[in-house]
Amino acid sequence: MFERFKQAKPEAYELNLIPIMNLMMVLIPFLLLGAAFYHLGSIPTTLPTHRPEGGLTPEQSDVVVTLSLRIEETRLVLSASAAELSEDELEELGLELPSTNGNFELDTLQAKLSDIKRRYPKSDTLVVLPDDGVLYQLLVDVLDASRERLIERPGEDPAQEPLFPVTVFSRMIKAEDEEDEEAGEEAP
Amino acid sequence: MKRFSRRKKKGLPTLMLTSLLDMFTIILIFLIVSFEAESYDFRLNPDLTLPDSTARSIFRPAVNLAVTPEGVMVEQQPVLPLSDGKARPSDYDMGFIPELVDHLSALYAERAAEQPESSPDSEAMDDEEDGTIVVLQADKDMDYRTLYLVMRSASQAGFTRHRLAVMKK
Repeated sequence: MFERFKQAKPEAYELNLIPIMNLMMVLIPFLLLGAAFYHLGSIPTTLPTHRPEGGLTPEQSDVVVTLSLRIEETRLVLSASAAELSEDELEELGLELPSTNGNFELDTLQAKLSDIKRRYPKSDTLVVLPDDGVLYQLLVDVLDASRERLIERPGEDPAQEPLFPVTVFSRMIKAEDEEDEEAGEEAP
Repeated sequence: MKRFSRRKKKGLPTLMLTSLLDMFTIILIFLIVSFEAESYDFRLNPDLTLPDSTARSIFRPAVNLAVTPEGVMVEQQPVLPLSDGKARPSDYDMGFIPELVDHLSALYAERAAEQPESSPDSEAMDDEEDGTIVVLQADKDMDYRTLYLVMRSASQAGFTRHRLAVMKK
């Protein structure tokens, strides 16, 4: 009786893969149409506007510091302005960062901005004043450093710490007779 | 003759689909991962290279303003030619590009009529429903002087809020 089972060989069946192939051939063109081969991001910015109704409301009585960042070919100059702070306090918030071989130590700038944000958490505006010849890529690199900071956490995804996400672009204009004296341009 | 007839009885050769199926499975997984559910009405200009950025903001399309070394385009429509990324000296003197202001003003009026409640508050900067925002595509080697000229022209036309299109790192 057992001899019969011993002799029986299991038959090898071949899977019919053609329907699966057909499904693949339908799915792949469909997914190709919706595939994103590059990932776009965006950085919200604005230009300065004259708003007579603007200013701090009583609810916003905490100190709000507005930072200005001049981007020059050889250095970055950070300065602060706030009606509530003294000259000395504002000077302490400033930073001058020279370039090394055409590159800027943006980590140093980010650390400084993080420190200012910790002291004045309601501050969120950075006025950027690049020189005419500053390239767009450098501008974006500076914005990346100034808008948010990634905090590494062991075993977890890095957290985002917002720094100065409201970016306002302005432009330095040089007086014809006094080249050293520069002033921010009024927006329309 | 006998020999030939024996060979014929071996059957038709079958196509090995397993390896092909493996390949398709890999392609399918890659495409599912990179599938974007949202359809953007946004075309990346082939004449420019966007700057790389670590910005994590979700990209939301708006009025498309492209600045290439060859010219300025609004919604893929050429508005003004540039000479190697530079505008006319008179435009720099004036602080805006008249043709661009005219073109964008008409577009702004059209968009604002569709969305009368748009406001230029910075708090509402990420409002995705606001059609009066301009997305600026510019080459990464574009100088700030020209970039600011274009942004200022857009601002004069009413588009005071801008989004800089960047390529995520």
